[in-house]
Amino acid sequence: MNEGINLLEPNKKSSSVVILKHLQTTRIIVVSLLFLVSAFSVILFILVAISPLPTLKNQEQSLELNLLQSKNDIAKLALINDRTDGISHFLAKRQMLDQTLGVIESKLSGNSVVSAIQTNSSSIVVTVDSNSLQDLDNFINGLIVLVQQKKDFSQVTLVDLANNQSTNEYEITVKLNAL
Amino acid sequence: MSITKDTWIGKKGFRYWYYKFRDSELYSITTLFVAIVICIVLSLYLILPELSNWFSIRKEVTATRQRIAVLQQNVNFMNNLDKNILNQQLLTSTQALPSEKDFGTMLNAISNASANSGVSLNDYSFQVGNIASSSGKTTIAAPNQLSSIQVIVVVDGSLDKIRKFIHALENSSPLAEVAMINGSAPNTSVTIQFYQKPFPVGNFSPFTPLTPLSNNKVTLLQTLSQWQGPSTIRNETRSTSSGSATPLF
Repeated sequence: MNEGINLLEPNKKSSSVVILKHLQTTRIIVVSLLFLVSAFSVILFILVAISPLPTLKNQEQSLELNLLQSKNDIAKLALINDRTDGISHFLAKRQMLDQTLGVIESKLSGNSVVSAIQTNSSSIVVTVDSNSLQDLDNFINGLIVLVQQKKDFSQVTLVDLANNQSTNEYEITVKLNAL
Repeated sequence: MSITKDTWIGKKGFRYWYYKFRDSELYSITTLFVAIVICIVLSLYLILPELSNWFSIRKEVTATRQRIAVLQQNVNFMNNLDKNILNQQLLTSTQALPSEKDFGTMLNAISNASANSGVSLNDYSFQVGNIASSSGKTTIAAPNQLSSIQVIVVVDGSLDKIRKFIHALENSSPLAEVAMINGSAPNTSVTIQFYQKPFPVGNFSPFTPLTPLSNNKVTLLQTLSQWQGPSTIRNETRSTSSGSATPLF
């Protein structure tokens, strides 16, 4: 702040020059700050204004409408996927009794026949008739080999062995436990 | 610079204070402080929200571009999809795994299997359960959760014929599983389970990428189409009836 009017005093002059210099620097800083802030705002405004978002949104809407025309086919595709998933899962865990019966049948020899059969989820009880004990022995041995090889059955149990005098036939009942 | 008399006399208004302090350090410090405050205020209330807005716009643009890519891919996929094959695959899959109990197709499958294997059918019984249509229900079936209906048929035939009967049933539509065999020749009861699965509730989003059926599924559908199903039986019946309608002379 000016405190006198003696302009000839040399110290006053130098202090005034320093103040002017400070003032100049301050003004430059202030102007620069304001310029920076305003320039940044303008740049941001331009960036927001030229954003491609509205065009992209329009494009998205148009594609969505286009896809909606195929709505039925998309539903069909989803349905096929759902059905095939269910079918694959089912086929993977389905009990194939025909294969098991085929294995039992393959072990029959001579004139031996399966006269009765009873199955459940864990075991099969088979009754085989034959007029030859040798054939029945072959049948049992065949099943034992399967159990030993750990194929198809985990255990074979002889439940019953009977002889029918009138027909001269032997009958064995075997219980097979599934693996 | 001219200072008016009024000012000089000491009204001490804004102009007085301005001219008094404008060359002082206090003035420059105050100006700097005010400018900084203005800059801070502008930054906080104008630039920062605008900057945040710009970032969110950029984020949205990226997300929209990704969605457009998926949509474009889906549109191309649907345009290139063969609709006839799609309909055929749908027919095959729904015949193999119907959405509801269809006693007609079950009986057709049993009858067809018996004809193929040479066993004769005696009695049969259905475990009907709820006969109401499931189409009106909104129950969502869990993935791979199948409902089943049990049919017990008494068949007359040797073990070999019964095996063929089971094989024929297992290779025909709708999906069936022989759960139990019980009895002795000539009458053996066979417990068959036919499976259904309700249609899933549609929750399609256009932004989910559509993918073609996997090779395994295509192979499965080809296998299923070779199985004897209701359509093949219907065709056979049609050809037989047209044959019988041929004039004898």
